[in-house]
Amino acid sequence: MFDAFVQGLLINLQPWPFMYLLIGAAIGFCVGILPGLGGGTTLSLMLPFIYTMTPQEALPFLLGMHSVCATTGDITSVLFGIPGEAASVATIVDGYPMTKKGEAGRALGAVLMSSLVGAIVGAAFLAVTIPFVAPLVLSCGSPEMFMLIVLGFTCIATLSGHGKRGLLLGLLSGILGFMCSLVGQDKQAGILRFTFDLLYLWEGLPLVPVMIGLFAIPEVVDLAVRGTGIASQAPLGKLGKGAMEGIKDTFRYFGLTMRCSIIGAIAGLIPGLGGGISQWLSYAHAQGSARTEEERDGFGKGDVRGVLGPGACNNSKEGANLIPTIAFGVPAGTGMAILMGGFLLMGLVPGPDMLSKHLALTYSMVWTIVIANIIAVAVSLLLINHLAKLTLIRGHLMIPVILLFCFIGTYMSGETIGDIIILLIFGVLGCVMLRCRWPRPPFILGFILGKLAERYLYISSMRYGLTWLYRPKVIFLFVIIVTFCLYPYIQMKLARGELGEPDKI
Amino acid sequence: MNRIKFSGNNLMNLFMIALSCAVIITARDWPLRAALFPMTLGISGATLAVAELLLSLFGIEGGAKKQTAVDYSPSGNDDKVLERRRTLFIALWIILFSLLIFLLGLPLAVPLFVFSYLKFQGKESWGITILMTASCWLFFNGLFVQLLHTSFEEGYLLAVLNQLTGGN
Repeated sequence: MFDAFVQGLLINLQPWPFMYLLIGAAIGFCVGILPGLGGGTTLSLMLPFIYTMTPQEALPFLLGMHSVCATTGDITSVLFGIPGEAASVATIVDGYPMTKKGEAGRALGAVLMSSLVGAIVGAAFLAVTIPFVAPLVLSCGSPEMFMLIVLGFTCIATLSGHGKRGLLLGLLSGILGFMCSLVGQDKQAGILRFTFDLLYLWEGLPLVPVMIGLFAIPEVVDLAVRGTGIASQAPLGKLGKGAMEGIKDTFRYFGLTMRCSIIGAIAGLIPGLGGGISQWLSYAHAQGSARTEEERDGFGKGDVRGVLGPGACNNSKEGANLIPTIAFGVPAGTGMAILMGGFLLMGLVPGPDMLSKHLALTYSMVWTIVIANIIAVAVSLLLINHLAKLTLIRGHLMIPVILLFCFIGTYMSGETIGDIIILLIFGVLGCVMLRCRWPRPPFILGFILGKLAERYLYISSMRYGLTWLYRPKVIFLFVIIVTFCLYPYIQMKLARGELGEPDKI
Repeated sequence: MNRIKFSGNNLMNLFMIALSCAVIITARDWPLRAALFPMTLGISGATLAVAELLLSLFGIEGGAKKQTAVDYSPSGNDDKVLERRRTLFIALWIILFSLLIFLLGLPLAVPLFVFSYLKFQGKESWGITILMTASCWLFFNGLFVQLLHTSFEEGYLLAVLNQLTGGN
């Protein structure tokens, strides 16, 4: 096995595979930055190019591109509040406020370095767990999958609102997201739900316009209202120094970064969950690491830990996503499904062969993720000054460019005018939710996981009746869910016990 | 009893109650397979929204003002009249961009929007306006049209004009 591991590295270091890795990483770098143009879309656009390549060349090309997208997707989230990738949404919550406070360099340094740590952890996880992972994934049935989704949803609903009614608002926001996911043709019975006789809605509401509308449009409106640049409230200072501070933060909170990387890796193992849920689980974990109520209140206002968690998690899940894809031929997400298509084009069949006959090639993927991310982070850190200076440009110059990205990203996802209308509707909803202090993260999680949750709930109920509720793993997950719901109250009580009741003013 | 308080948040709660009720009523006509999840959501949504509305209306401790979402907070503007005016303007510009895309198609809407926004809203100099417009158009055209060969829907107005002139 060690031989295969070393051979994997040597495959990547050969001249042509390394050059293709660089090309893939460069494409991934640009695509990650462009909102809406996701890694999945780019992978599908690049598939025709691999026909003439050997597997040793094609895999670094495709995987280098895909894994770098997750790293650079965080850059636009931090700088402009626009998620470059669906899995980069959680980074906005604290990354963008840091930018507005003039800490763009620090936020970028933190997110890039934590991404690198995450990528290495994910790759190591892939390398180590390949032989042991089969029983774990196969033991999760529909009831457990459903409960895992509920767990992810509860985590973010619980931790997304401050105040005594925070949980209530978080749950309401999530339920609204779940409701939006109901739109379209029902997969179980074929019923058309809330389609209003529009063919466009048969496939459901498209993710990219919803995401960009909900997150980017309110930021554009806010930028216009302020009438200044993004980082108007504070001087940026020395960006390089800020970036160094961000890098130091990664090691200052190294335990947190590692734990969030592991969360990403474990969530990445489970097909379907992927980045949608793991970023919020890690954000919830980062927020849970706050020791006092004041520290908790700082989240959402520019706490670097809120950037480190999702940053690390996003990249660690990439390595783990490969495990079910390679080992069982069950792609963990859209990107992996397309990558699997690439495997088949190259004549590689996912399954036991990948863990025996093609083991060196499998390990070459581990190295590809590591090398591509090291290159992407190094280039990003070199460009950090220029990237962060973008936030100083006055708003009037930035707004048309940001709107351009929003509309192009939206249009590119489905190439129809309907997407633009969805963008506008969810832009309005995003603004209203911000005004009314309804947290948006649970909404987007509910929306992303709605269809999956419904399928698992349906299969569980039809196959097991109500007995699925008594399965030991389901009960175990339920206990964790209840603990999460009660966690803020327990923490508050403990803090009060230590500090005593605050004086009433 | 506390005085009843009404805020924008209550409107969201009312909207949520109405939406949940609509989901429940609509789902009654569907087979169980399709109705199970919507019903679960509708009932949970309505219950939670009613609870939140009551807590909010009667100003029970931990009221709306004490609640903040772990989400970024809009900075706004100290001058509320200016804030409203700017919000209105940006909303109009976003709608205008959408209309341009609908009427002329994305390839024409992009330079037209960037140019008009920079010149009329941003009041930028001719040099910057033209430079930015050209850069945006070059980026858009180079990446999406030339490199990726993306097909963009023809604008409604252009399609009508083409029909009138008998062009393809």
